[in-house]
Amino acid sequence: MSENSKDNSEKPQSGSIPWAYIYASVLIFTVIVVVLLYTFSQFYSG
Amino acid sequence: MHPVDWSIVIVYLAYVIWHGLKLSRGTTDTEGFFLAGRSIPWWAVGLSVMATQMSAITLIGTTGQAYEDGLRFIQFYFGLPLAMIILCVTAVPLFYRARVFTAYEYLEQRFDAKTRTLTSFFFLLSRGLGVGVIIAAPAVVLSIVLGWNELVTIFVIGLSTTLYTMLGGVQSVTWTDVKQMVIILAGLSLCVFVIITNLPAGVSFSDAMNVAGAAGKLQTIDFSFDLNERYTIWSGMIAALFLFLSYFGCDQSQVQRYLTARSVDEGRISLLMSAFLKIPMQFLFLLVGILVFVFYLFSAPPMIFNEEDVTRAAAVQPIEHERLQGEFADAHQLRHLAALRFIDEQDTTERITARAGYIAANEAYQDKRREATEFVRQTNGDSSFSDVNYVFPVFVIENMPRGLVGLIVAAILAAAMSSVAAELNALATASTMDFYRRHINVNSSEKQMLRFGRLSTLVWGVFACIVATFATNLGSLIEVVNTFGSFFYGSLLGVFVLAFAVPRAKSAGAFYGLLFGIVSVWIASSTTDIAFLWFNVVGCLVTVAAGYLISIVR
Repeated sequence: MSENSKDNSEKPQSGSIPWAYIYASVLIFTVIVVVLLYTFSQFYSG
Repeated sequence: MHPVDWSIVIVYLAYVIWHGLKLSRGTTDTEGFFLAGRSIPWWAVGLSVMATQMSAITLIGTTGQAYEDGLRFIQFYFGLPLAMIILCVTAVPLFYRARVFTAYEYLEQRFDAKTRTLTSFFFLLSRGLGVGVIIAAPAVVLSIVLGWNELVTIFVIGLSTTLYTMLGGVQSVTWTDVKQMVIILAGLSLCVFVIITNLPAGVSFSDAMNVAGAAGKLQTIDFSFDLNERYTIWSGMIAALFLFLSYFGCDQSQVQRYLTARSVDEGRISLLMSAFLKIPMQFLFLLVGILVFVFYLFSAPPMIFNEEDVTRAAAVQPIEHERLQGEFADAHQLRHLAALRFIDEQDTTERITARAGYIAANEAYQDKRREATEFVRQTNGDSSFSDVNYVFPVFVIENMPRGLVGLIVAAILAAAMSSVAAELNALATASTMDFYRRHINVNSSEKQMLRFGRLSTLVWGVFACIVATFATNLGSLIEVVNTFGSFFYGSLLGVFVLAFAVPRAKSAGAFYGLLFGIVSVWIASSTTDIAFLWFNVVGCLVTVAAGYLISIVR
């Protein structure tokens, strides 16, 4: 194992990033994209 | 191709190889060769994850699919963001903190060496054959469309990729992936721009979408719950979720990407980058196919895009071919006029009539195209014939300006090479870590492992080229390889679910559960007509259930 990787492993791994909010934003973004796609298709297909 | 386009392709190939070789200088140990010393920034890992997933056949197949079938294919990716979140919570921290080189190494820590070896063996078998298909598919298309020699195309893609992967390891793979991804996105974005700016006078982007929508090309969501239907919202949200969990969480070619990240957090962000970008990116690819459809409303398309096959059929039945060709040209002309009338008509009532006329003309046109496809199938004795993968390359060669043709061909090569490089790198890592260091030379030194890693990259690269030469002639081999992969994926996911989420699961349960899962998928595929995506659900659930029961009983 290289020195470089040892250094990396000692970095703080988690805790400072609000993961729950990030995961929620990914899901909300996905829902928005799907709704936009659906609206787009309905608008031009109707 | 024009010399300008040739120059772009040659410059691209030379640059990729030179850059890959340049990065090989700093690689002196196994952690550097297989994991880049866990030093790659999240955005590069994220682009590499996306480049690995997108092979050339995905690129040209997706655009062709949109031309033929519209936007429905996008539903396949609806489960991807949720899969990425689940993996960020489970697989990424577990793999990273276990300090493993391969996903299967983790299974030895959790279960035993037998389970590790079996899963790694299945990975080597399915991916070793699969990488041959990844090379073969674009080589066949490019050789027919551009007149390139098929063998030369296979070896140019296969050996150039092998060269920089063998010397530079994952460092070269990742950084060339980044450049290749930029080329792919730039090429396709320019393609969209050129098509839109070259729409006929009086036809706006909105008009283009209206004619595509009226032809049913913009239908994105199918709510019907039909297990035999390949792309519905349910197969995308449920069955594809299992596929993506397996692909990104258990397939070494993807696991190795995020193991190169600087930390657990950066590994997670790299996967979430895909979660954010994948659906919009696929929309871009599909939009290209839709715009190609619109383009061919106003200029004459080929009856069949694979010229080689249609010429062969025409030589056998020239009169029938001529009749079809004439009727197809008439159908196109009628559709063309109907589309123009639909676009020009402003009066609401008349517009409804014009729309109905256009839809009927498009149906008649599609009937002629189906008839022509059936003619080629029957005359050539090839029941699986389809020209979907030829639509985009033929369109580019015949209609795009000089320079952009070269860029798109470079993008197709880039898509193939980025996937092949990641696969070769993963195959070499699994061969070295799960077999050489674990079973053959347990006390091997860093130098020996590095040498074996490079040698196995070369061997897998040559093997892939050989498989590719057979795959181009044997259509069924491609199907066999893909089917074998789908047998394995869900069951492999089941083993990792047992490892992550079932504390009572034991090694015997994992080992035999995997075998039960594979057999169950085989039975499901032989006795039912369910779409292949659902095999992942079947394999995973049976493996978890069987593995749990065996763990309790033993």
